[in-house]
Amino acid sequence: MRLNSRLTGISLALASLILLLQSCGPAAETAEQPQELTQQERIQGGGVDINGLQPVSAGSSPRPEVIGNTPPPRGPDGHPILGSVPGMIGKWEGFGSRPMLRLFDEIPEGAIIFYNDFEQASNDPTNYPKIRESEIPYQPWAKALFAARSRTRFEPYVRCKPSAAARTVATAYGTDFVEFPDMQKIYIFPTGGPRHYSEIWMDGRGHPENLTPTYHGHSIGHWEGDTLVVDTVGFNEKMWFDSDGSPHTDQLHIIERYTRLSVERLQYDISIDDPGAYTRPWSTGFYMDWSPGETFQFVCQDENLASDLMLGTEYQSMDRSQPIFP
Amino acid sequence: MKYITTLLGFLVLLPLSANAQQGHPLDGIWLGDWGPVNGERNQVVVELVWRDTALSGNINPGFPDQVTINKAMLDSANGWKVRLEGTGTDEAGNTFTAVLDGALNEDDLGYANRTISGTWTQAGTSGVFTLRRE
Repeated sequence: MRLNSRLTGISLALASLILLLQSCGPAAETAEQPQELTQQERIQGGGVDINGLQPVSAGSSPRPEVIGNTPPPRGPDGHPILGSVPGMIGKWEGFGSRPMLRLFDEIPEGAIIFYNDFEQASNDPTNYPKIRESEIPYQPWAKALFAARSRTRFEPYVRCKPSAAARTVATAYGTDFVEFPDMQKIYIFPTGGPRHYSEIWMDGRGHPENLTPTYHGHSIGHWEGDTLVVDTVGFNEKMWFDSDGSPHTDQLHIIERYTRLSVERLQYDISIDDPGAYTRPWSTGFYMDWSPGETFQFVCQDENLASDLMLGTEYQSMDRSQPIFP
Repeated sequence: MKYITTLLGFLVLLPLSANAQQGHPLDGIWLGDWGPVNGERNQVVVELVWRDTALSGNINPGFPDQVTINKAMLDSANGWKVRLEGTGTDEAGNTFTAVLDGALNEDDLGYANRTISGTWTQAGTSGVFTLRRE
């Protein structure tokens, strides 16, 4: 009885604190223009969602009902801020962008396609003009491998392996961008996955010689007007760079362009150049929508509910003490 | 089972980044054996490298019976058939040829440790082989 009273008292205190913060803080929907951000302000997070009464939990992120045209916040250098700012905490949702990088005007035999309303998608002017499947310049082996992957969808991401490029930004539960101008770096933090991140060097360096291939590769970036351009090489072959299963080799060279069109919308363009898998470079992309609310800590190895995808079994208990998944 | 000790030593020297690659289906290091169905098995290491549009490699690289692969074919449209042809030099200095005719196992195509199996013909001797990617 005493414990229940104590818990009740704590709950009331928390509720009061939440209401106090709401009344004192700025409305989340207002896109304030900060004159200068400290590093602490940039990395400030955790705690209570100032947009609501409850801490953000998995799958509860509110989505804006209308994609607006509010001008994006800008940093001291004049560039749009891609991530959150005080008073406007949120993350980018691109998970609804399926298929991720293509429109299926032709479907590989036996493929598992989660969404493919080709006519609707290709005729909707609000949709990003994605490349058509028939236009992707596969080498024959890559086309056949893509078809095989489409039948099984045995994606490394759902087995808690780090993803890269498009799969980094379009992930479950949202993606956050954190910029450190004083360190000349930008980080991309996807909520889903094995708690990984992309690191973008903004100090004018080039790519090193003899890179050891890694999941995220080596990324260097620069601004072209209001667009962040990121050039990445040095990928290993253990990941997929999209959820569709587009093949690649370690010769992959990706250029990504991030343009915050408004507070509410981010345009993601990607150019793929891989002479080991494709006969020429190709480009596509998608839009991402701003979702107010904080991210939360998700660790794939511990919280992935798709155990059958992780271990290739179905309806069997998963031994979570096993640290390594194939 | 000859060369098994030196094969293990070879594996130790492999760069870690070469393991578990999943780009081109044939790219990588393959371990296995070949020989008559009920006869002695010959342990082998096959190293294949895919660059742009060409596949190259060696069988048992660094060993006396090394075979340099001269022709490599992957037919991804017809059951993932594989054909590798190469030449080597035996201890007497005579040139011999090796031909691998097989196919990738489509059941494990999506795995890093996928397999190839088929017929191996070398220096007039034929047998079956299975290779597993490391």
